[in-house]
Amino acid sequence: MDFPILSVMIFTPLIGMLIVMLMNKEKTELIKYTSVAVSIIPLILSVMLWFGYDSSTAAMQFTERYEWIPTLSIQYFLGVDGLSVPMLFLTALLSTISLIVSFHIKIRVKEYFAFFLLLEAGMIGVFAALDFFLFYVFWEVMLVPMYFLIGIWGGPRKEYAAIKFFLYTLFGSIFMLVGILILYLNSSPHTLDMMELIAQGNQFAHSLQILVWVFFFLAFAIKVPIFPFHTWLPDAHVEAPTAVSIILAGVLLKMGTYGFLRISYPMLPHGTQYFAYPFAILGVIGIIYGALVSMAQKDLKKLVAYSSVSHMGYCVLGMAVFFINSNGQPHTTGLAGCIFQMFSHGLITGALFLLVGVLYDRAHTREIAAFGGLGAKLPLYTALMTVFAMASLGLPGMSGFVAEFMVFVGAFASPTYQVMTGIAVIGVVLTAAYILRMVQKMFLGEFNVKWAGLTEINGREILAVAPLLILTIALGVYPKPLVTMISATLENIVFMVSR
Amino acid sequence: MQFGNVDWWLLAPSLSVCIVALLAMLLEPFLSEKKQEIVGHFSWIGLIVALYFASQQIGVKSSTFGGMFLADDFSQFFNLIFILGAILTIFMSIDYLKKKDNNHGEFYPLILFSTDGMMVMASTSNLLVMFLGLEIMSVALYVLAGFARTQLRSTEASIKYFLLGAFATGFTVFGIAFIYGTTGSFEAMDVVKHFQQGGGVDSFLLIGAALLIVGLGFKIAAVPFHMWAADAYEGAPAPVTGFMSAGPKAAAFAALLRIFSFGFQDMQAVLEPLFWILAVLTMTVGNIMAIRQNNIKRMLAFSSIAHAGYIMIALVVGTAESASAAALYLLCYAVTNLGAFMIISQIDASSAHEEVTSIDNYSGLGRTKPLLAILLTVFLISLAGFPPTAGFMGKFVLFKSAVIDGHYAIVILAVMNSLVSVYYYLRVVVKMFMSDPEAKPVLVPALPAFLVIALLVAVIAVFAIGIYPQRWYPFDGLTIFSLN
Repeated sequence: MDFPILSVMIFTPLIGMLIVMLMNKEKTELIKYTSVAVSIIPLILSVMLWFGYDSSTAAMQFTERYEWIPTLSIQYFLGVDGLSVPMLFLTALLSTISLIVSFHIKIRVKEYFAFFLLLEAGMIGVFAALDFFLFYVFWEVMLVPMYFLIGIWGGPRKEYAAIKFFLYTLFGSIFMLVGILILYLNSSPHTLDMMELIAQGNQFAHSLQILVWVFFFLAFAIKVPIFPFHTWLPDAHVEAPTAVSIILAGVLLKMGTYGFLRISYPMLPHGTQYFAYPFAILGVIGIIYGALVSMAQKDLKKLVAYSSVSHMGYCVLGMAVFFINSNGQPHTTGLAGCIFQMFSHGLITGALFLLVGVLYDRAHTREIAAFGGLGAKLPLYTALMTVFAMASLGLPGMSGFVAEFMVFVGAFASPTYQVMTGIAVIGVVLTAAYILRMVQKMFLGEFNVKWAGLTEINGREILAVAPLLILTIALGVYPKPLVTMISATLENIVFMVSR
Repeated sequence: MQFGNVDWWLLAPSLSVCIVALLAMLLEPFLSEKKQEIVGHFSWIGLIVALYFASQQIGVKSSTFGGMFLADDFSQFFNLIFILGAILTIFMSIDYLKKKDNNHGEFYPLILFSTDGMMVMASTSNLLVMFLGLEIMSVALYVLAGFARTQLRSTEASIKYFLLGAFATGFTVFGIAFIYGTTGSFEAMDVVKHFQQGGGVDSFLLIGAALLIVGLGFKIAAVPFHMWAADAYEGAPAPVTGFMSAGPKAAAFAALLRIFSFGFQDMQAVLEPLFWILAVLTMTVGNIMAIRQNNIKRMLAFSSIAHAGYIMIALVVGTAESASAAALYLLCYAVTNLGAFMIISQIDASSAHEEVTSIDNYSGLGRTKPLLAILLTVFLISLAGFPPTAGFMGKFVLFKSAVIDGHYAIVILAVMNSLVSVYYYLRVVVKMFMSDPEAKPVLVPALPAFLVIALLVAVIAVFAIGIYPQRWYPFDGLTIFSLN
């Protein structure tokens, strides 16, 4: 029996949560350090996972399988492939960073950190589960701490934002539940084992695949979010505390795209092919619409939130483009771009939300127009913000560029999507417009003396943002590790979809 | 009809409840006003004895009294729900009644009689015996609903429940008469025989079935027979409301499922559209009405109507598998709802002569009484059907049984409905955790020992069923015993 690395990753934060709950609520510092220490364990394990993973095959690795409810054929089944390893690493990394960022929380500290660790356990579970029932349990469990984190520690309209987020996501996931049940009863023998369902994927009737695909689409599209299901996102982001925004943008949105690639694509190949074209259109709409709306934002956090809608649009466009070329080789560039974008958006937007939070803690406003000439007063902060802003608009040398470039190359390779790719490229220009405008208004120009009292970003915050900075640049200059990690898995997915 | 030798052992669980009830009633006059809770202690100990007998019978499949009294998986599973529900109700009542200045020992025998009625209902397929059980259960409940004598609302609840209940009973008896007229027997399983012998769906049988649905539909508070429920639930003392939503509902469902999913299975095609409409109406009306309520008992009354709607999906599907799924759902619902009512009783007990059941009273409870608030959140999340709680497992198994039979539409309507329900359950959670305490917060008394035990049982059950149901419930279905 090997070391159950995935179970340990899931259960460490859960045990951490119990420990935090048993601690004296007056000892806030101890609670904070304990939580961070606990969250470092899954981070270390996820790095071990990355290096221990054999990327030459698409087979599931580090699997753990136990009977759970045998009569319903429900198992406790975990495993990872090239799709989940980067996501697990991202989740563990952003969780630790978010916990470090959360040190400024003053009210109900104990509950906050307990909820956060529960959230981390749920997120890791989603990316590691290979049994449908288990997947659904983690998917739902994660919602509850998220709801509390927004609802208790959020901004002025926190209750509204929390319940909107909750109901929207739940709306999608109950359809997923029905979809799961339909797949279960149409599989023979009845199974909830995702690998088994993927193997049977091409045997499901076409009409059934289309129906279930729509059900899963609702669940995942709301999470991504794909236009027109994105309206919960700005509310949740604006009201959520900084750390929760980081998790929302960095991990939760990725669960949507992950769901498509892990479930909809290989399990419902016909449904995926049937909807590929409209799917790409929604992606392009997302890119353009998100960018246009971002241009109109006065609130910095809202701007970053809407830029997520735009950036996730690239993911969707990249995802829609898959085919097997005349040589029998799968075309995975678009999909690789999608995964790259998932990872890189997690880093960049996570960092942007973090930096927005840093400023908000000091200035208590996020209105872009209220600032000006901060570059002179806060040089280090300005430098960091500018670097990530540039990464966000896709400046070469940073991970965002690699991702967008791969999506465009992938999409353009297919004659069907060439026009669409052309339209999507406009999005890059629009992104540059709103990002540069924001940088200009906030950091350049005349210094607004009202902010003479602002202090520079502190050591703890730099520590939190540093890993994101290093990774963004490292992957921008040398994207190979991530590309190697995912290629075999993606080829397999394309073969599965093209059945 | 030959009775032959009576198998007393089969009767042991329900008989022991009955004997304990009679003894408790005798005990009560000998105790002074201050010592009335001794009757309560006597009663729950008696129930544990009954639980022991019931557990010893698991796996037995037999009948006695000439087939009028049955012991099978189905009756045993429901007996577990009833006895557990009664024990938990007594645990939460002992201190509640004292704090509410209403410490009268006859409360406990009434609970026991009602429980015994339910056990009879679940243990027979003879319509007449079922009716007997129904009446034993109901009469005790009418009294219990009005137990807070000094409260006008409680009296109103009792009167409404009684008058409408008596009216509904008429329908039940009339329905039984029609069925007897067609098949010549009080035995629901003889309807199967009627079809085997070439009998068709004749109009008398149909009228009989319809009248039975009305009568029992009243007990489960199916729309449009639900008018009494909100007032009765709101007016009755909090532990009684919890009890009413757990046991009697399960008993009426046990009867409905046994009659319609097993006895009338050949008429399923005719009855299915009827059940479909009733189920959808019940869940939708229940959920929509619950949104607007500001009294937590009234809100849970409508939520209980909505849950009845979900469970009625089992009647729409009409298979043995779905009937068993409904049984599991009822167990999950019973422990969850009783758990919620434990907290509600505890909050309500903060004032001796006033009702403290407005949702506003829960403001800031997360800060003043974090443990109670967290537990109530767990129960509400389970009611909303979230994993890894019992409420989710119940829904999963029930919906699975419906999807397997091809009933997609009603499952989608049900999940949409449960989405609506999340909204009003979370309203309470929002009040508790996200609002500031009221200027004059309620002074919640310290947790009494028995309530702690009851809460522990409920919360452990909620998670045990939710995470590892394998040992609790046979997923291949509960079987029934029939002489045919």
